[in-house]
Amino acid sequence: MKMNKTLSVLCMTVLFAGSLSGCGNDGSSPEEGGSASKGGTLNVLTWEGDVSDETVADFEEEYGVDVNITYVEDTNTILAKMLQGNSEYDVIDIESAYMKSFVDAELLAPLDYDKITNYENIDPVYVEKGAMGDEKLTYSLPITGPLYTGVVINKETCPIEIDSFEDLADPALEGQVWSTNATISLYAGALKALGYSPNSQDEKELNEAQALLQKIKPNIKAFGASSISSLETGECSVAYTYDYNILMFDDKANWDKFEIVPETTLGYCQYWTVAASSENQKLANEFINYTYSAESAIKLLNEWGGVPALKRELIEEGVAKDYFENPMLQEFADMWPDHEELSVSDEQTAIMDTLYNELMSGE
Amino acid sequence: MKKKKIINGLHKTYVLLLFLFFYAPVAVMILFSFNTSKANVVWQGFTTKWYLKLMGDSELWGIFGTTVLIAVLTTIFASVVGTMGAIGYKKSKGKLAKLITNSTYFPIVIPEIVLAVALFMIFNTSGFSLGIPAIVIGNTTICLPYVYITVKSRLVGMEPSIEEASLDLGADRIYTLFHITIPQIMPGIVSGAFMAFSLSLDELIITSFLADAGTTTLPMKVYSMMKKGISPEINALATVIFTVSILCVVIYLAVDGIRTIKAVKARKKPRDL
Repeated sequence: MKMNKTLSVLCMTVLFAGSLSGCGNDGSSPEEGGSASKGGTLNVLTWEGDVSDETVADFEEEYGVDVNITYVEDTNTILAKMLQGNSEYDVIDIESAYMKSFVDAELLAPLDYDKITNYENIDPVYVEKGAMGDEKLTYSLPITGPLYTGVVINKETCPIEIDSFEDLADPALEGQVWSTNATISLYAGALKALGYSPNSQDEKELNEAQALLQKIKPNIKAFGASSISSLETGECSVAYTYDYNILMFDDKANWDKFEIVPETTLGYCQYWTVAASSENQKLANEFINYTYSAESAIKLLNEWGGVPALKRELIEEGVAKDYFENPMLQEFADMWPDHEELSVSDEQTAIMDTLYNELMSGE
Repeated sequence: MKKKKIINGLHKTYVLLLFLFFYAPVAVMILFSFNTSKANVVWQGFTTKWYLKLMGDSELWGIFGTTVLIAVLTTIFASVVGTMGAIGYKKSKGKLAKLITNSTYFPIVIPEIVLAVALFMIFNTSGFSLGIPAIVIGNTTICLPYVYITVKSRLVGMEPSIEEASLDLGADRIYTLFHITIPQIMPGIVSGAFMAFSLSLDELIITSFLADAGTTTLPMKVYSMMKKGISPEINALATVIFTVSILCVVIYLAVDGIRTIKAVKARKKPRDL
């Protein structure tokens, strides 16, 4: 009896010790002074890999504030929360496809370019024009260089030559294709292959896109959020995915193993924005500015890889010697001038979700 | 004799396969915590850097602590309310009691996303702030039925005359509840509590909707890594948690074993008359 009580107390102690590691820590990296004693809090909503943990810690120390980082799982959830008025985020990392929705809903505050002095560090190519909905970059700035959704091929195992999205319907690819389940990317890819605007809401054009996807579907082994596992293990030899940059930075062996088909690509970017409801807009702009320092960019690239938004000459000394030998970087830069971009609306998303459900149910 | 050996061999093989089925994923998870690849899909080489990174990653430990805190609070609330509900059901009669019992199954049956949206709308409309308290309430909603069902089934199997005997001997209802009823149903309460704890620990959907800007739980963190690959640092954390859990079980079994040996020795020892 006494031993049971002792063991129970021991178990409870371990549990509370575990939970105490969360007390007083709101997910940020506390410095020596502890989190509660600092002046102010900045809430940042971002995708994993778009800001370095070290940069956040450095910003906290330099500005004497707490930075709470929340990682995005789905942009639609965040948009819904913000539209409900229940959002405490100051800095938000938005994908270009959703920029118009956020701007039209008046959820974003104009950036204070007087605070963003590191703007000059950004490669001018990436700030010539912003995402659809914010072409003049009033509300946003690109976090990294361009990214693409497109057909990625394993050159060693793919049985046919692929030049277009329609080639995915080739019977030789049966059971070898992985596809993103992001409906906007999926239907945009099909629309583009048929010569239509990837942002089309025309019923006839969408039905044609649906018909094309129905032809491709027998070859698709899996739909999902991440193709890395399927491609790297060799389970699939082709993928319609946005993971090409992750593959190419994961292992140098992938440089010769994988390639992306330029004709199938749709470009996008992640952008820093400031929430209109933010009460820390000054600090938010300072944080955005901080991420554009060469030091911050180098830390991010060394931790996560990726396509740099900053000018090469500012960062090449700080990254690995062969960093810029990655063929993906030149491929992406070459595709950027003529890239096509997505911009979704609620109506478009609803139509595509309905079509996707029909596609999955075999209608 | 030969037939018995074959059957024994088959039993052992079956048990071995069962253990492999349960623990092979855990073994792979532990192995890949030493993988050099950040995307952590294919083995690229051995490294211990993720453990070093984990030791210094106060953000990740903070997230883990928040997750455990939510799970502990959810377990406490779900266990107390679920147990009270089950005891109340036992004492009550009539159609209302049945209606209440049947309605406790709703959170199990209703899709979690529906519950998540409903809870989000309730908190939003009422002005209740999102964050840890909201998450605890949300998690308690889904864990409560499991505690209730487990304790109720234990109560049904309990001999009613024990309570009656206690009351007959002069104990009041409160004393009987805490000294007779609850000890009898404690295995059910503990089972329900463990179930609530494990459900809450890896709950994602409701937590995502009810979290505020300053709250991130481990499932949210892991899910957000889907885009770029789940870092081996998560594997390292999971390995540490697994090791601590196994150690606790081993210590418990060792202590229990020592106690049993001592008890057996005491019984065998001749008494001085």
